[in-house]
Amino acid sequence: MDIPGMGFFNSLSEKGIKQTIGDKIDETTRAVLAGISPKEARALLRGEPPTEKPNPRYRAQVKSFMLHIRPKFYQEGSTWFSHTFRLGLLSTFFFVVEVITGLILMVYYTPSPDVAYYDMINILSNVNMGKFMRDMHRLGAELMVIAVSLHMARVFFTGAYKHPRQFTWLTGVVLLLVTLFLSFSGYLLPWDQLAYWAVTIGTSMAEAAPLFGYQVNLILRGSQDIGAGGLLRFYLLHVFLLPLVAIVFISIHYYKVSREHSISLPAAIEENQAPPEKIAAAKRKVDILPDLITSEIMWYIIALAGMVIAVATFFSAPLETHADPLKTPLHTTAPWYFLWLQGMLKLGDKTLWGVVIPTIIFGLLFAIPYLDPGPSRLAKNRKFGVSLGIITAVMLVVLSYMGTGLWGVSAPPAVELVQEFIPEEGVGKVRMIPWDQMTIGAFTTENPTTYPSGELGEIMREMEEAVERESARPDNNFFNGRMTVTIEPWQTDLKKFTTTVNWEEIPEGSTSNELQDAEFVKTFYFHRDSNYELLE
Amino acid sequence: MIDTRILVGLLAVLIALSGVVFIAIDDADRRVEFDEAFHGRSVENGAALFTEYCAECHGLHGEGTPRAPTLNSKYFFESRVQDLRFEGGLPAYIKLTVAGGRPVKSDPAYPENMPTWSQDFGGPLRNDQIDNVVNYIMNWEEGAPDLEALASAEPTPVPGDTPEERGANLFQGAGCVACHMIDGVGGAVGPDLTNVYDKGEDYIKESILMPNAVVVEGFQANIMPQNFGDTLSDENINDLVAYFKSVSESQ
Repeated sequence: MDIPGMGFFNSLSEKGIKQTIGDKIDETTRAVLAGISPKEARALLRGEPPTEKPNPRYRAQVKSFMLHIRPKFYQEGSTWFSHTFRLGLLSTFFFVVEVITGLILMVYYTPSPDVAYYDMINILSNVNMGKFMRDMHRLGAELMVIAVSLHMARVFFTGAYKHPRQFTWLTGVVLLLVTLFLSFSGYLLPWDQLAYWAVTIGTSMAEAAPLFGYQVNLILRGSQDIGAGGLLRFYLLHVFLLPLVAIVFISIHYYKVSREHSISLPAAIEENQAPPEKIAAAKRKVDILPDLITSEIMWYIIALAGMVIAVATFFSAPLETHADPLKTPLHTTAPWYFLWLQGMLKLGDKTLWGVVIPTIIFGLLFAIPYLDPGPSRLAKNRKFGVSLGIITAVMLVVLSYMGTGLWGVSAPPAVELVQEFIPEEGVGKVRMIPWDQMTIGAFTTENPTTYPSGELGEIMREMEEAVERESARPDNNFFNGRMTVTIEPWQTDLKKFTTTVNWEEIPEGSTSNELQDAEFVKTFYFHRDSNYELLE
Repeated sequence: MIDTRILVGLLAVLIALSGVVFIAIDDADRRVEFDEAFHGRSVENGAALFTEYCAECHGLHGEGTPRAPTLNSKYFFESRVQDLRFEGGLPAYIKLTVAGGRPVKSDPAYPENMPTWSQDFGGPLRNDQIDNVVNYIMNWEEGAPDLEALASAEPTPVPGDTPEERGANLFQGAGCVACHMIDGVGGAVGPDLTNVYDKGEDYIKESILMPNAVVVEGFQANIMPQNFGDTLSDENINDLVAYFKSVSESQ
């Protein structure tokens, strides 16, 4: 009996229940998995050869949207770990982590100077796992900058940018820039002192550009100083424009890799400089399904586990005090990946070192494949290029060191002394003293017998050494210094902590060596509950 | 035989999950602690702001001056908002007053109106700074002195017919002389008080009630008892002031 429209029951009577259900499962699985049968899926997971002919795995790559982006296979040589270090894969992975954690953080964030900082506090003090999400987002951003930069270095040193991959390199440099700007634009959003001043410095660099610098700065900041307009613009750049550009260029970049030139083989293989059996091994096909996908998923999970462990143990996204446009912090530094730029700015003219030279550097980066016509990718045939690369890397490290507060700019010794023990932002030695050990009284480094016991006494001894160190430095106009700490009860659970630095100095413009007394006083308040370690 | 990559991947999944669980277990406690820590830091910032902007008129410890009312008192924390029939609670009342100022003086004797402090109303402070000031003022609540009880308290009977005489006896009887020298007699733990009247009556009263408000250079804070507000009445303190005045004038 054949009932129209009741195929399932018809086949039930024809083939029996077991066969019918089996067929139905097979049909549904194939529909969901782009033609892969349950048996085939099992073989895929076990790393076994295909179960049908023609190979259903290749068919799946044609039928499935997500898989069709991928090539059918790579050559084994291009998957060797020591050749790529999986850096491109990791860069993509971190981008995806940023998108997911970013979307979650967006739910709790409003880009307005009045509330942005409180939204951060809310994420940290009220949102379930909010700190975890923020730490992951921040860590992912920093790792993405590292992965993208290392990826570029790898491609440079293996000569993989050469013909026919010049355009792929070019899109890669765009992605490096997008990554840097994505990270930098996110820097402003917490609206704390760190954010405000790092971005103020960054955008003021744009101002140094000839002809249109003022306009660029104005467009970025939304007004003379960063305010509500600037925050909104950076927010839109961060969550909309830059991710969009990134997605477009990641697509182009990957399309070039997957459809046109594949990943490069190690140079020695490509140029027949390796033993024949090694070349043969390198040119063996490795199928995407299941080999590469398995490997990729493994790397994703390892990277994720590494990030989670870092966040669980030591990594914490910083949050300083509320942004204050009227109070410049003592040592403002750019984010670490822009320190080289800050270091260059210390060399001289803002326009030359802050705009012209970086533009030339990135211009050269874009042009590398077109400037370097040598056909060989082997390092021994590219002595000039490789040395230039190494010199650039060393220069970046040196310039970055010069960009930190350790080099060049420093405040007067008394200010630095107080900053050393009680920094304006962050924790520092004094804030680590348990509240109960902040003994009431006045203590001076001139009279070590007055030191209280416990951690405060130890810090006083350290102050004594620091004062001696500063007094002994020949380049300091700071003689016979002493530091005094006065601790008073101030309110319920609140103590007033006054540091006074006294010293003798040669007055400015004086020709004689006559010394004059000088004093620097700075007051702090410490509350019993303000667990600074927790806020770090 | 299962692919080693699948085994490694599964191991990594376990590690990642245990990491997340490790964080999640503590997260609720951490959030509570963070809230307290942030409040503590807010009070610290508020203390600095209060000293800079408010202390001039309201006194360093909120004790009030002829220019502005007392904030650090039991009355302020327990009855002020009820008396005004303000329904938003004390923190909101403080925030409102600090942010928007007072268009009308609460006491015509004050020389100026309370200015507006919020940038929203043309003042110098951001709203987060005003929150810090509010948290700082609210932190007085626990130890706020009961000024009304103090004013109406029966004076401790001290022998003597004139305020100067009673003050002189009190200076001996209450133990001041053990630490403070006056007219060449007394201890040297605290400052010499022979000419203390020159610093003004307010200074003397503040120093008796809140010895740490101003600590004379060269002397240690927290040596002088801080409970004279409980043991001495207003009248006792006025007697002491009269005594200081007479000593100062006889010099």
